[in-house]
Amino acid sequence: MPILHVEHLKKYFDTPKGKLHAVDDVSFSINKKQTLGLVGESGCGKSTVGRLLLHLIEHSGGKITYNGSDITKVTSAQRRKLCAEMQMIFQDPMSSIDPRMTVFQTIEEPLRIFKRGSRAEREKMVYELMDIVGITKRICDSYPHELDGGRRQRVGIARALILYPRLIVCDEPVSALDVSIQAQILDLMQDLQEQMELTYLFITHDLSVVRYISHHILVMYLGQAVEYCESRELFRNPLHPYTKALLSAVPVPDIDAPRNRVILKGEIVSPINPKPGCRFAVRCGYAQEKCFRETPMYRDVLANHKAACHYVNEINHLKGE
Amino acid sequence: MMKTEGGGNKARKHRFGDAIFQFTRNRLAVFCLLVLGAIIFCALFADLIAPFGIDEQQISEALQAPSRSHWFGTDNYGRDIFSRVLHGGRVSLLVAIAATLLSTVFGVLFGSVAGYYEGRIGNLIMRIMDIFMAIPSLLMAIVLAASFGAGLNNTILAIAISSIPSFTRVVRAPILAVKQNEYMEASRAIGARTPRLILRHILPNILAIVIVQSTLGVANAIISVASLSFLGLGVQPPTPEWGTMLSAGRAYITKCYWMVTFPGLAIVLSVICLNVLGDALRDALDPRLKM
Amino acid sequence: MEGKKLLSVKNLKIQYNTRSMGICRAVNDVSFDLNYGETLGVVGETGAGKTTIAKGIMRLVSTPPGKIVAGEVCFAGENLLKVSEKKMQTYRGNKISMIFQDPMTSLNPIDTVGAQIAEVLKLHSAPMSKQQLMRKAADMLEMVGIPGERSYDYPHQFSGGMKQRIVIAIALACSPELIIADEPTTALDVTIQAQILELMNKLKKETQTSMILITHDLGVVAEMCDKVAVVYAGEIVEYGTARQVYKETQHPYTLGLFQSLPSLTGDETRLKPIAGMMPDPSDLPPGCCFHPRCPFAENACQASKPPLRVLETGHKVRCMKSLNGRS
Repeated sequence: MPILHVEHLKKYFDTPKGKLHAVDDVSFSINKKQTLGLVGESGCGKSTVGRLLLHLIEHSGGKITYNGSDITKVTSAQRRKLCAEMQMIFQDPMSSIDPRMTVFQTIEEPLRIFKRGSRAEREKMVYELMDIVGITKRICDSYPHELDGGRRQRVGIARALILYPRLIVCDEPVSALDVSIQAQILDLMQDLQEQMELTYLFITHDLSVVRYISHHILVMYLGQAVEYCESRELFRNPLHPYTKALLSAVPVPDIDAPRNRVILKGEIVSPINPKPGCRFAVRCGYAQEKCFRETPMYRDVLANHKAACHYVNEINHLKGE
Repeated sequence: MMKTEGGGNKARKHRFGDAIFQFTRNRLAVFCLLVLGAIIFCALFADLIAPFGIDEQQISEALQAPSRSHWFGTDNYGRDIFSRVLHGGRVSLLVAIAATLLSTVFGVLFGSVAGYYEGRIGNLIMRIMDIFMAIPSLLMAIVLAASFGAGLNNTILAIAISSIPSFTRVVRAPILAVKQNEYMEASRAIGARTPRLILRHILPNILAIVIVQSTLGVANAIISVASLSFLGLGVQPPTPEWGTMLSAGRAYITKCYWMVTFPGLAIVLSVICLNVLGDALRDALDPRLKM
Repeated sequence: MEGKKLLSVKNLKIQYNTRSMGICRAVNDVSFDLNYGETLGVVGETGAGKTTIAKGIMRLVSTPPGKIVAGEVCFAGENLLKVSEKKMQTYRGNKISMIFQDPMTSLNPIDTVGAQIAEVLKLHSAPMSKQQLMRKAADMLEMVGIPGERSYDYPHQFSGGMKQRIVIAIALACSPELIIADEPTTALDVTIQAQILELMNKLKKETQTSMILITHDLGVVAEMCDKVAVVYAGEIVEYGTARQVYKETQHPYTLGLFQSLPSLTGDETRLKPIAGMMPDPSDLPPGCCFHPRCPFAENACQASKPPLRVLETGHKVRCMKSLNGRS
């Protein structure tokens, strides 16, 4: 049962050089209590998608449905109500927490904004959340710069959870953390998903992390969706040339791992006033003349496995039309 | 750069405590703080400290060089200059601080609005401020004082108005920077609305800059008061004020240097101390210099 | 020159004297060797002291508050810690180059890239005319895969990956014997990182330059490095060839690092993170620095600091026990 349904989402920015197509016709759904991983490199639009969902920026087209209701256009009062249901965890815990507020004040703030509970009740809730995310009460009066990255991120997570939302957009939540802390936070997030019945949109560029934590993965390139399927399936059987290149580019911590690297040539095309045709064609080893003319359709290629490529069947030796 | 990993139990609790520590290591700044403290103390308790009244004329003692009974000498009316400098300090400092307070409040107000609402409102405010800044502030103070008339309150008003534009400008820049910080976006994500964002998140983060600017503002205001009074536009006699004393002593400058020197020294000393203080505060509160 | 020692770091100790937290022991008794043409990976997490080691070798530690308290850095037979600053300046950029992490801020925005490469050449080579300098700069750009005509462009006209190539070009301009690369690909996208790593491998082979690669990414180390040193709390806790460290892991911390990584092929449902976090350099625990987090710790581990044990294969580990590979 999809809790979130996004159709043809668009976001264009006006720049002096023209229209920047940050998000261009992206559609996906997320099922309740599941995690959709949103993967791509910088400039692909994944962070923009996250912010569009939370109405932190205005969209340029498309439809967003949450729990059956259309939330594409909301009044500010409706938006505030949604805040309690949809929250965000940010990448850099150093900059996403006000450096002048203590840990307690940071976690308490959503309660004060929504005027939930008396002072004593709020205190109880804050301590409860600190417990859930695994930080000791002792650091209540500490400031963010006094804590290490892992603790800071837990504070950010507690702040996002204190209103007990249903859906959380996680924007690179572990990218700024050390490997050993990253593992702690990932396990925490999994536990929380179980305990609190959360749905995650997990935005990241780290392929091993997304494979571990997601049920499904959507790969984006220059504002467009290029591939979507079940998480492990993407690594077993990537269909789109970009996904193949991306997977082969990840350095594997294994001396004996075979290195069949697909090195992409050329540079990324500009997302400003993009021409029709596949945006990846310039760097694609399989590109044909059609790829530069016609934009490929994002469609089902296999069961529950979508891709946007003209020659996806030929490249992967699949039967199909 | 050192990163404090680990529980952080050894780190200090309060950021301001940290700033105070940094400040106390600057010996010049501490010295200036003490000197300034002494000046303020004398100004406050002028009544008790001053050996003579401000208008106690003893013509027989007129134009006496500094001596044991009159530490700073006497003026042309036989008034004790030391007592007048003490009382004058009260007026100068009062006007300077009051004017700076006013310009801080309004400067922060206009700067916040201009900085937060960047579009047309912001532009309008900044262009108005630009117009005012095109006029040298002292000249503006003179014009305002001349039109309002002389007197203490009008002087305060004139100086305050002439300082608001630079304050606005100084406040707006860090607000533009702070606005970009991710925690602003995070606060919007948890539902905070504009008033809360400005009051709770932006202003505390520009506090340091405002403090520094105010400190330097008081120094400038002292000079402005003295200048206005020197020109006869500010405080009126018999109220003693460092500027008026300078003006009065002009005629006697070659023979009786003490009439001009001591009020002049008082101005110089206060302004230097405030400037050093302002710089030291800026260094102490600058987070980038923190280890 | 293969097999001959280029760099020998012995018992390097660097401390920072902070007013607020006392003495920060950033680097404690670090020793390693590097042969000509070899690449050493220095692996560790934030705060372990890897960048400080690099700065120590280049004598770029800000003094005060930092201080190189002890040790030797023998480069081609000369102890760098004892030479004059003037002599050291002839080494930097010339015999030893450094590549920093963030290409966005490593390049001067107001100079053309050609001018920035030429600057290094001007400092360390025999005097050349302006045309010769610019031609050499264009050659360096071609070497890193950028058309030579672009030497008249400014840094902002290049993408992140290309900027990092330019940084590499500057580092290689004077044909250094040693390059220290501090997280050179961390700020880059995965596909760009792959390009840069390939470029670095190719250039290393062509120019026979030795490299110290500082990173936290165990995948990058596996691709690039012949030898690996694992750093924790300012000490080397494991040191050996890449094969030894990856396949015959000895130290519990190294093992913990491998187990914290979600893999691209495995089927784990839970990761095995290392409990706790790295100690503050101003407050190191007694005995073995890792013992508070170590699942194999015993009382002896707290009592005394374990020395760097040398196994018969040359593999070194700072631990009382042996792990003998990953489970």
